[in-house]
Amino acid sequence: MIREIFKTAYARAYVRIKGVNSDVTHFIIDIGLPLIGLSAILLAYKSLNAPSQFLAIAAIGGAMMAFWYNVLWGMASQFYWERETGNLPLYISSGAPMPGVLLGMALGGAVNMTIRAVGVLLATVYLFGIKLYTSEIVPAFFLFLLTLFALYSLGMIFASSFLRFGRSVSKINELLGEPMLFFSGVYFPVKVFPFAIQLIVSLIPLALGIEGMRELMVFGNSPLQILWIYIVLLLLGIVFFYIATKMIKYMEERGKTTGTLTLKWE
Amino acid sequence: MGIRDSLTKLRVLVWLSYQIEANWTRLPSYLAYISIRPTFTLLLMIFIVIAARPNPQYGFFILVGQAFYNLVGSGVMGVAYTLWDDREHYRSLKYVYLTPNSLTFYLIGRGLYKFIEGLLPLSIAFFVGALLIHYPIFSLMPNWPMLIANYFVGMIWIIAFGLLIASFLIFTTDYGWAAVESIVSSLLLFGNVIFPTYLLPYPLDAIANFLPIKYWMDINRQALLGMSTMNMMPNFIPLLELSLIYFVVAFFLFKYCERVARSKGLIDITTAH
Amino acid sequence: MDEVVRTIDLTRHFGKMVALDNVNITIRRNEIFGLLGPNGSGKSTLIKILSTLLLPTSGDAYVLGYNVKTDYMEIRKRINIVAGDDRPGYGSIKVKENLWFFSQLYGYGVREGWKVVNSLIEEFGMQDYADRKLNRVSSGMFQKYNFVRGILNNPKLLFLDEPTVGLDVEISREIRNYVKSWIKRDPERTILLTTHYMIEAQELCDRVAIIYKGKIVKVDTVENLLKLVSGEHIFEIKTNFILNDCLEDIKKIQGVKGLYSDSDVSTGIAKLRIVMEEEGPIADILSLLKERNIKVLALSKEEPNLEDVFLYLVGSKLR
Ligand SMILES: Nc1ncnc2c1ncn2[C@@H]1O[C@H](COP(=O)(O)OP(=O)(O)OP(=O)(O)O)[C@@H](O)[C@H]1O
Ligand SMILES: [Mg+2]
Repeated sequence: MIREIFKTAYARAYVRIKGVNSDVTHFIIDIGLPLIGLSAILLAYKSLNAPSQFLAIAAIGGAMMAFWYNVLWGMASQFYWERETGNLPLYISSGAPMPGVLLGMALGGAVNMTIRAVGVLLATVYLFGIKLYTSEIVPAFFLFLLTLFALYSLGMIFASSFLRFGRSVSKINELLGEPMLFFSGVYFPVKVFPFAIQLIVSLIPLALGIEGMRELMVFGNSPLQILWIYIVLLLLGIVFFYIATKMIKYMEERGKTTGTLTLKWE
Repeated sequence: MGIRDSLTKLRVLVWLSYQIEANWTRLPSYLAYISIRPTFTLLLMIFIVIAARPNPQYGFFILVGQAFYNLVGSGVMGVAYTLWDDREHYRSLKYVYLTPNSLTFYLIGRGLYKFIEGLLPLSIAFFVGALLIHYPIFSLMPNWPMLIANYFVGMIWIIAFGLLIASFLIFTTDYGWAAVESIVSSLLLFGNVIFPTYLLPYPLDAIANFLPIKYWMDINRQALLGMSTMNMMPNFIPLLELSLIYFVVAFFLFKYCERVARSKGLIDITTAH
Repeated sequence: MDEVVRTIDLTRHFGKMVALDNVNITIRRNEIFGLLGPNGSGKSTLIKILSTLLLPTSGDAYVLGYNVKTDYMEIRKRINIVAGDDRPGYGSIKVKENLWFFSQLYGYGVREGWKVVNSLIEEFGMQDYADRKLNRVSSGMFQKYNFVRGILNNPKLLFLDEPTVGLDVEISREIRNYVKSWIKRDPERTILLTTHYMIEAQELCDRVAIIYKGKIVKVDTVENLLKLVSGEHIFEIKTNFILNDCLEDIKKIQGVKGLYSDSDVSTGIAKLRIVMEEEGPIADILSLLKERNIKVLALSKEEPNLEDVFLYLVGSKLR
C-alpha cells in the first residue's frame, strides 16, 4: 500500500512539475508577478524611512506568500477542478490511492513554488541590496521543510473538504487568501499584533515559518532560541497530516454514496 | 441606438453582472464577501505603517492609495475578465456577439457594475484603516464635487485599461490571468499608490507621468483633504487629457482587435477544460 | 426579396488549410436548406461566415441583401444561431432570466421582454423548469431553452448547427416538430440546417447542398437527389470480416460506383453498402468474396437514401 501511494505520488508530482516548468513564459510570469507587488511594498517601506531590516522582513514574507497561494489554488480547489474536467472520477475508479494523488500534488506544488520563492527572494536581495545572515542556512532550510510539511498537510485537508462547496471554492479561496497573509504577517513582523492575536497566529504554519526564518536570517539568532517554532511546526504537521488522511477516506466514501463526484457545471 | 435605449441596456448589463456575481448567496453574506478581501489587503499595507512608523500623516498616503486602488483592480477586471469568463466559462460570448450590440458596449456595461459595487469595500477599508492609524477622519472636510468628479473620470481610464487588456485577451486563452494581473500590479508599482513615484529608480519614475492613475490618486488625496478645486487643476487637467487619450486608443485598439479576431475565427475559442 | 443568402466564390483558409473553396450557393425565402457533409467539410465554417462570426478570406456573401463583411450589424438584427453542442447562458441565473437577458440585448423593452419570454415559455411547455437555474436543467430541457433563445428575436434566418446532436429520439422529434411549425408560421422565415442525421435532412430539408472538402458538390431538392440514385442498384452485404485491400479490389470491379463498409467491433460483423449502375456486378463481388474466404452472412437489396447519394457523388462515405 505504501509503495502504491508513493508510486502514485511520484507520477502526480512528475506531471505537475513537468507541466508547469516546460513553459518558460509561465516561469517568468511566476517570478515576475510577485516581484512587482513585492517591490511596491519595499518601496513603501523606503518612503517611510524604515530601518533596512524591514526590507529583509518583507522580502522573506513576500517570497513565502507563493506557498500559501499554491496551497489554495493548487491544492484546495484542485479536486474541484479535477471534478469539473472529469478527471476525478477517473482517479477514483483507477484504484490509485487518493492519498498518493494528494501527496503528489503537494510535492509537485512545493517543488515548483520553492524554485519560484528562491527566485523572488534572490531577485529582491539583488535589486534592493538586502542583507541576510547565511550562517544558519541549514537550520533555516530544515525549518522551511517543516513549514511546507505543515502547510501542505493543511492543503490536503482543504482539498478533500472543499469538494462539497462546488463553484464557491474559488470564493472560499479568495476569502482565505488575504486574511491568512495578513495574520501571517507576510510584510511586517507579527510582533505588532496584540498578544492574544499573536497566540492564535502561532498556530498558523505560514506565520511560524516566516517568523522563524526571519529570526535566523534577518536577526541572526540561533536555532536554539526558536526551538519552540520547530516543535510547534512539527506537531501541527503531524496533526494536519493525520486529519488529511482521514478526510480523504471520508470524501471518497461520501462521494460514492451521494454522487457528488460527478456533478458538474455550476 | 438612442440614448434611452443605451441606458436601458446598460441597466440590464449591470443587472446581469450583479446576478452573476451576487446570487450564489444572500445579500448580507455577499456584501461581507466583497468587503473582506479589500479590507485585509488594506490592513496588510496599513500594518506596514504601524510596524515601521506609526505616524498618521504617513499612513494617510497609503490609506487613500490602497483603498482607491481596489476600485482600479476590480474595474479593470470587470471589463477584461467578462470577456474571458463569457467565452470560457459560460460559452455565451459568441451569442452575445451575434446580437446587434457592439462588444465594446457590452463589456463596458458589464464592467460598470464593479464601480458601483466597489464603493462599499472602498469605504469600509478606508474607515477601518483610518481607525487603526488613528487618523482623524471626522475632521476631514472633503471637496466633494471634485471627489465625485474624480470618481467618474476614474471610470474612463480604468475602463480603458480593461479594454486594453481585453484587446489582448481576445486572442488568447492561455495567458489571460497573467496579463490581467501583471497590468493591475504594475499600476500598484507605478501608480502613486502606496509610495510617491519619485522613489522609483530612474528611468522608471518617468513611466508614472504617463499614467492617469498617478494624477488620479493625488486628486483623491487632495480632495479628501479639502484642497480647493483651483489648486487641484495641475493634476486634474493632465488626468483628463490622459484619460481621454487612453480611452480613445483603447476603444479603437479593441475595435481593431475584435475585427482581427473575427477574421481569424477566435470569437468562440475556448481552452479544453 | 427571395434570395435570403447568396455567396459568390466564397473562400476561407485557415493557414494552408482550405476550409471553404469557391462556394456559390443561394438560399431562398422560407425554405429549410440543409448542409450535408462529413466532419471537417466546412459546414460550421460556412455558418460562421454567414452569421458574421468569421470573415471570409475571399469572395463575398450576402445575407438578406447585406454584405457579411460590412453590414454585419444589420445582419445580426435578423439572424440567430442554435448549435446543438453549445451550452450558452449563465448557469447561476434562472432559465427565464437568461431568456429575458437575451431579449434585452435584442432591444425589447423591459416589460415587453418579459411578455415575449413568458409567452414562449408557455408555448414550449417550459413552465416546469423556467424558474430553475440554468445549470440545474437536463440536456433536453437545455436544448429547448436554447431553441427558444434562438427564436427570441424572431429571426428572418435561423442557423441550426446540428440542433439535435446527442439528444434522445423523443426530444429530437420534438425539436424537429418545432422547427417545422416555426418556419410554416411566417413566410419571411428561413432556416439553414446542418446535420449528421440522414432522417433529419430527409424529413426537414426542402433543398440540400452536399459539401465535401470545402466544395459544394451538388445542390438540389431531396427528391431530386434521391432520383440521382434511383436508377442505381443498392445492395447491402453482411460478412464475417473484411480487409481493406479486398474493398479496393471491389471498387475496381466494372459498374461499382461507390462503396462503404462498417464494422461492428462487438459482433465482428462487417456491413458493405454498394452502389452499382446495374445488378450484374453483384455476382462478381460475391465470387471475389468467396475467393478470399470471406463468408457472406446476408445479402439484401436496399431503398436509396441520402447517404447513397453522397456515396454516388463523392465515392466515399458520409460519416
Ligand atoms: N479556427 C480555426 N482554425 C483553424 N482551422 C479551423 C478553424 N475552424 C475550422 N478549421 C478547420 O476547417 C475545416 C472545416 O471545419 P468545420 O468546422 O467547418 O467543419 P464541419 O463541416 O463543421 O465539421 P463537423 O461535422 O465536424 O462539425 C476543418 O478542417 C477544421 O479543422
Ligand atoms: Mg461543425
